[in-house]
Amino acid sequence: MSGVIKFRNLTKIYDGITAVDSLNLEVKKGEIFGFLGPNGAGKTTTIKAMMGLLKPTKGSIVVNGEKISTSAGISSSSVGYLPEVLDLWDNLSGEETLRFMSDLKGVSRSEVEKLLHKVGLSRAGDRKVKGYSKGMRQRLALAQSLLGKPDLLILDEPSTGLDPSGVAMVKNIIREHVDRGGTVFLSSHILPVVEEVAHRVGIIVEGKLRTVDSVSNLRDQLQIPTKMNILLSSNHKKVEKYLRKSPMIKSYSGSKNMLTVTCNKNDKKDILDLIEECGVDVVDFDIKEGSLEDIFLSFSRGDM
Amino acid sequence: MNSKNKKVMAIAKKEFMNNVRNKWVFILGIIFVGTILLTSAYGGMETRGEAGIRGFEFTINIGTSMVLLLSSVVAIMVGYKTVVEEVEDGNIGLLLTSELKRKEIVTAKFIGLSAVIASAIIGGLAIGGLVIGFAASFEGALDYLYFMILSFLFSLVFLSLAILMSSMVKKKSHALAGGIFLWLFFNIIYELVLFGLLVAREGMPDFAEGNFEFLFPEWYWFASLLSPNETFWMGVNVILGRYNLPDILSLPVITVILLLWIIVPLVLSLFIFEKKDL
Repeated sequence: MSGVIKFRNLTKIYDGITAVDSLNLEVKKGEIFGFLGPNGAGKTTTIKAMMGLLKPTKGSIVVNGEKISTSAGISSSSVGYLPEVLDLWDNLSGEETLRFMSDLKGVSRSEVEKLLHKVGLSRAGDRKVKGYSKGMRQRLALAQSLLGKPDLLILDEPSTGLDPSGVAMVKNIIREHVDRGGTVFLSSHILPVVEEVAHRVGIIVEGKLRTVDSVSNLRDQLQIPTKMNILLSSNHKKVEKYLRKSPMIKSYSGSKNMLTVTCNKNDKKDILDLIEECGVDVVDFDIKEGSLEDIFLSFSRGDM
Repeated sequence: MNSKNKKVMAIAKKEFMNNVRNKWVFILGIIFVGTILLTSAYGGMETRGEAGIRGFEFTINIGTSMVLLLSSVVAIMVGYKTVVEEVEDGNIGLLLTSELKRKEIVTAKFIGLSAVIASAIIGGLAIGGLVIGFAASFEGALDYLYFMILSFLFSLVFLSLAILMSSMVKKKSHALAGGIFLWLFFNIIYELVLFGLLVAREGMPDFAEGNFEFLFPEWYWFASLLSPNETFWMGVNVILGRYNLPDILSLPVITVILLLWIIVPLVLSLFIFEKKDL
């Protein structure tokens, strides 16, 4: 797979403060790439540099084979962009906004109606944007990014202001886009969404890209503990002293017949066996593997 | 029309649609028509003793101050936020997905906003001119046409200056403050400075004698070219045949100077905006 976006040694310094520091990254065609980081980590600066809105202090960015510059912007109409902060033109209706963006991108206006329907704005298309709620504005902003079926979608916080159905719509749009061969560069604070859809994630902290990998690989590398909730046939106190002594158990808490432990993901079966050996039956259990949130927190706290 | 020009025109059209609905543009257009007709009908009534719409020469004479004050305000109101607002609102990123360069985006905005100004100012003056023509006479209509063209160019100067402000700053409020400063500078400060220099060099003029040759020596006219307001006023004087301006300051030359006043700030804004972090 070839690189659709290539950052080479990207550095941006504002008034002596390094917002992005020597960022090297390649996003491959057909991939959903989750770009994560705490507030002020340099995510939006990176995206703005990619769109040609900022001039890098050092380094270069290539998108779809073209080097990005501030004078030309992202000189490819096969890119759909949703900025983090976007306040669309108040005096235009939703439909007029999409028609304008169609003309601007040089694509057919026939998509406008379909896209309004896709983002749930069919009945509000003729209303002026100034009368839209925050969620409706975000849906319209998402619709404009899809005009012309771009190869690359750059989405900066696409779920902002959306209700659960809107968040589900964003996930569907991202998946559909990749299913038809597109690429998505996704920055979001809604980590479950990123975890659900992203093939790989990159975590940037204080301007430095700390890691790039799939969520499952990161989970393994970081040995993020697995959490087990176990329902016992009798009170948890019967097994407490055995489990607390076991080196497999990283944390322990219990209430009546319910027991919660964290452990390495490979020790799950051994722990269940140990409980049975104590003469207590396991009635039911569920397992929660280390989440992207745990991984994110490990990096943003500076544990890694 | 090639694809790039179509995109430029799409932005120009959007600017026009978005701003022509601005109530201030509409109100100022109405004020223009109303003031032209009212001043034509009632201006100078104390000397002529009766009301009634007068001819074009009188209207140009009395309408010059209105153009100087109002059309510059219209242009600043329309232009001051055009670039900085797109940056503040995040829309500039969308415009840049169009394959257009930053320079082309600002030029497109200038075209669209020029059309808005044309509707308010040329529209207002043209309606007023037609009423005057039918109510009084069409004598001097060509002079009135020149006056309309100069008024439009003068408004474009302030549009260009407003866009320059909008391209330089990071907040709408700063662009507005810059626009207001320019309006005050060219409408009041520069004129006062020029008049102060005139008095310092030539002594206090005797207005009662109407000694205009003395009042406006040659250097004064050339120094006036450094202000679009004074340049416009000189153009009106040429149209009306008032004062003895230096021969070189003909109507075409004054028109070219006004064009330079439009082009130079616009080109500066293109270069500033191209280098700017957004």
